[in-house]
Amino acid sequence: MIEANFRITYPDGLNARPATMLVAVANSYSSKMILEYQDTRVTLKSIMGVLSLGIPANVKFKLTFDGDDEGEAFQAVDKIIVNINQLPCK
Amino acid sequence: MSQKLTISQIVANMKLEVLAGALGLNREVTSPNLTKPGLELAGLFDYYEYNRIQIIGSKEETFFNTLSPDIQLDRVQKLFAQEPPAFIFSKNVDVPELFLQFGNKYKIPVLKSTYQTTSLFGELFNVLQAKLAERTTIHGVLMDINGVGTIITGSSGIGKSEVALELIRRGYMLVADDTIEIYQREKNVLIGEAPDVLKKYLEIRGIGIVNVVYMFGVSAYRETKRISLIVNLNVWDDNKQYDRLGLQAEKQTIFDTDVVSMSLPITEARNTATLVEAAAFDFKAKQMGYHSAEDFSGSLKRKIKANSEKKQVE
Repeated sequence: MIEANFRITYPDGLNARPATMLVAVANSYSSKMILEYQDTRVTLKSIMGVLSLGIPANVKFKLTFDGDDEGEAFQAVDKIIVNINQLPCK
Repeated sequence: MSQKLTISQIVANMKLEVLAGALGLNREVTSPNLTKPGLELAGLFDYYEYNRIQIIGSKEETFFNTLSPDIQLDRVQKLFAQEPPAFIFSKNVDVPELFLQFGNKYKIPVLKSTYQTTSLFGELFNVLQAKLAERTTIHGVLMDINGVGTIITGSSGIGKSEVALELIRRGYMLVADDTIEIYQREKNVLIGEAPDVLKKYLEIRGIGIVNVVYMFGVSAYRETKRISLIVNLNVWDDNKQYDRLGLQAEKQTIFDTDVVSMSLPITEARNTATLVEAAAFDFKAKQMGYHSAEDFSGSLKRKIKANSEKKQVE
């Protein structure tokens, strides 16, 4: 199992567009992935779950990866969060 | 404008009376435009639009009757000499004898309508436009779902006709199954209908061809429908990303009209007819000014903002 803290610096926070990107990546791996923010845990594979948290910019949230491809999943998610943070602001 | 239409088809469609020139009923019309030869009756033939159907109303007739007999003969002679497709007189006009004589001589139909000039123009233009417009065909099913003209496309055997059958059972109307003929009545208005032989029929694998009017009644079928939405059914592909929120709208262009289109992945666990119905309802809601996904996106933004303010207080 891999546990790591992440932060979105994209100013609009984890709104529809970045969340869609993140969930899409999560869904291409079989490992179980849990997103935890302010004591609420949701699966990273569910778009509605991720959006329900309303994560703003510059706050810490925890991701856990558990499964056969947890290493690859972690790297892919790490990469997509870097991409999200570089998104042009609307 | 590649299509052709004969005068006899127009006569049948508009229920016109043939007064003269019956031998010319197989003449062809290529232009949907109409003209009133008022200036020509007054002697100006420089701009005579002789490739169009000529409409003569009571105004033209009254003026014609003020002319002296030899001028009348000259003008009618010139009108017929260029061989327009046909002359149509509107409701309250007494057709001058000269027109009947020349109609028979030149084999150009002289027709009489039961409409007054303005409505004759409107009706006839619509008929000509519909028949003469360029057509294209799409492989799919066209349904009227609560007023939303929805095309269901997808590869053969994916179950388009089965979806249509289910939608008919829910009270919606079939327009065309398998082959949809589409023409553009004007920009942004696409009309779809079934080819003549296929009208009212639905082909269901394992059952064969069924007549929906016979099976479900007249309320299950409609002749033509304006197209608003295209739903493309495809087999669920694990490697493909699907639009999860519905914030982006895709378009498909037919002639020069954009139609909203969407890709609908289907699996055994998903009831396709219900999905297509939901897509049509959502489209209708958007037309009426309510966009679920944008509304959701707005409340999400407020929640993110509230969360970020809370964080600063802490």
